[in-house]
Amino acid sequence: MMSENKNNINRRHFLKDGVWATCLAGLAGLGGFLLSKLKKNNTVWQIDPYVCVACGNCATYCVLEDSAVKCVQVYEICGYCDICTGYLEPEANPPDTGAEKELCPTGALKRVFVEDPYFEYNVDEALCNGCGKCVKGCTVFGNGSLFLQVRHDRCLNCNECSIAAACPSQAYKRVPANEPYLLKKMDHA
Amino acid sequence: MKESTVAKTLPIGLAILGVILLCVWLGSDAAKDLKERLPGEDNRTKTLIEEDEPVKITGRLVKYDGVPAELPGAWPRFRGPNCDAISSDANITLARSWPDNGPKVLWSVDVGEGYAGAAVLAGRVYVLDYDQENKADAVRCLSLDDGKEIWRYSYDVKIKRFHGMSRTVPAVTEKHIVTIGPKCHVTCLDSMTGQFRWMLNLVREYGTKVPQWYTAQCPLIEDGKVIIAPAGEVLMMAVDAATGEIVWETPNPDGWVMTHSSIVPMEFKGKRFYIYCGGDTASGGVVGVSAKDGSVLWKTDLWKVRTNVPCPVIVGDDRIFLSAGYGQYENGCTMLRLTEVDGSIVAKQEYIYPIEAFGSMQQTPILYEGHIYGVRLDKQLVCLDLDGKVVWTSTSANKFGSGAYMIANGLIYVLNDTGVLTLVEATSRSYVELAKAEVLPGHESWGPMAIVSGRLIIRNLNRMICLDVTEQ
Repeated sequence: MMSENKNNINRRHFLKDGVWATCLAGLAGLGGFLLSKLKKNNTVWQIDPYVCVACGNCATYCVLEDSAVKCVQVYEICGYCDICTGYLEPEANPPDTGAEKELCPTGALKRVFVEDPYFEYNVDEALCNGCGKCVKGCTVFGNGSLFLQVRHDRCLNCNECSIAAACPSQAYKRVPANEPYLLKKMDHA
Repeated sequence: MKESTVAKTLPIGLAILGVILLCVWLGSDAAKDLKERLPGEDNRTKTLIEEDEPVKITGRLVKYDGVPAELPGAWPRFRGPNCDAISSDANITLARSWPDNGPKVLWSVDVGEGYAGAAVLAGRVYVLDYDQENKADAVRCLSLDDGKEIWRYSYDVKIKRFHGMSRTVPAVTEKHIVTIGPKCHVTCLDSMTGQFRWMLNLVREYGTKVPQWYTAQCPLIEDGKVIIAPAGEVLMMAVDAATGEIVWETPNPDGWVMTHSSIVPMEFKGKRFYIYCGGDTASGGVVGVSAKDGSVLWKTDLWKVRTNVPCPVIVGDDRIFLSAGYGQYENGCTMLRLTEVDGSIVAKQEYIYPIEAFGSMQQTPILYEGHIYGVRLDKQLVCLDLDGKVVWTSTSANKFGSGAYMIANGLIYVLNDTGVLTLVEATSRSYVELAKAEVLPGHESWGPMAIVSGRLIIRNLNRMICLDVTEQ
């Protein structure tokens, strides 16, 4: 009999529980919303890839010994070409690996044969110094799949970023900390 | 006072330890963490040649119910009748302004992924398309009236997507149409009926290496001869269009490879020759081959670039303007001047400018009324004088990318990458924009344009449309 009473939910209880549940859900939602707003007010530095001119300042102006700026690759945009203008020196012939043929001074951009006629290009972040030589070659002549981004596992988020101060194209922006990357899109005109 | 043993031995011990550490340090390999960057680390394997591909590929002709248009005029090859991308049909008045949505679209057809432009003759539009579903090159003959297909000749070739698939414009006469496919298959058909005439497989028969992103060389037909540059075992050759027999061949002793550039005819001091920019930075240059017998009349290595795409632009009687873009910084453009020395033709370089002055990746600039018009790598339309000096630019507010452009009746039609067509006055005074409209939304509107009877044919990666650009 006791268990029967316990499981017996009448309309009043049901409505009461429902109101409580709704209030709690509303409070949780409000809390989440306020938290996200609060987080959005926290901003970090990022490079707008469509404004960046790959001048090379990112490699030398960062206060860190190893710049927080690294090259990133959007594989969706890459053409997987043999003659890659982001990878090869203009005079490199035939297209191949080798220090004298590669634009990257540190060998951070790696080239891997996929299948005829495609080659994949990957960035070794540990070697990348953010000089943007590959970015310039890829942007001026190619699809623009390589571009520079401030990596937030490295960036100190200085109040006055020394690279931003030296950026000739004003590509540095403050972006919300919860959306810290400005990635290129396939359909960008 | 007696020194302790520790005080006596400690400095000596430290000194010995220091020497040992120094020896270890000097003896160790300072470069042990360094790794050589050597050729071949990408594990490259095969070339584009497919071993099982037959030398001659049997094709198939299918007829459709399209009817040729009753319209005059012709755009019989890449860059039009005079290889200059200029139309000067005085009988047609072209509109100098458009409605907001642009000129009227007369027809639209789906095409395989690529950049192959149209040739037009006798009311027929010819396109070398790629049929992705059936994996075949498809020579398509469409009606200029409504875009309906009249016939299609297809032959099987496997092409992988690599910045599109198709990218050449046929050459057409009243009797023949000649195409060069993405993998260097030269095909000749009856231009009216589509009946097969002959085929050459340049890779298998002439050792041509298919250029990166496939062939972009467009054929030329002159005096019943098809002029092509296999740049393999022979550099250039003339083929009898009617029979397919070789008329002459030009040797290729320097091993120039095929480029994306097309052959352009020129006449100098009574000699007619075909100019071709071939090879690459290892071995390449510009050559003038006699139209009579295929002999080399002149050759120079003053212009050799890794990826040669734009065609030579003939300037007056004796000059040639050349431009490049891919991966180039210093070699943007140059002007060659031909002179006759002891009966021989010699090419001299008048100037060479970096890409900041002018350089072009894909499209060939246009010489019009003493000035050169083209879209630079910074995407701006520019007007140059013949000394290579910039007269005006469209400024960074008006950018066009790698889109196609041409001139008709004093008007420049220029597309941007995403199908916005802009009408600009072809004048050296200044950049004067007359009209602009998004006519072909999509990607990569890079295929060359054609215009006949006021009908402008343009394309993007997947679609070809015909616009009525006449004054209404």
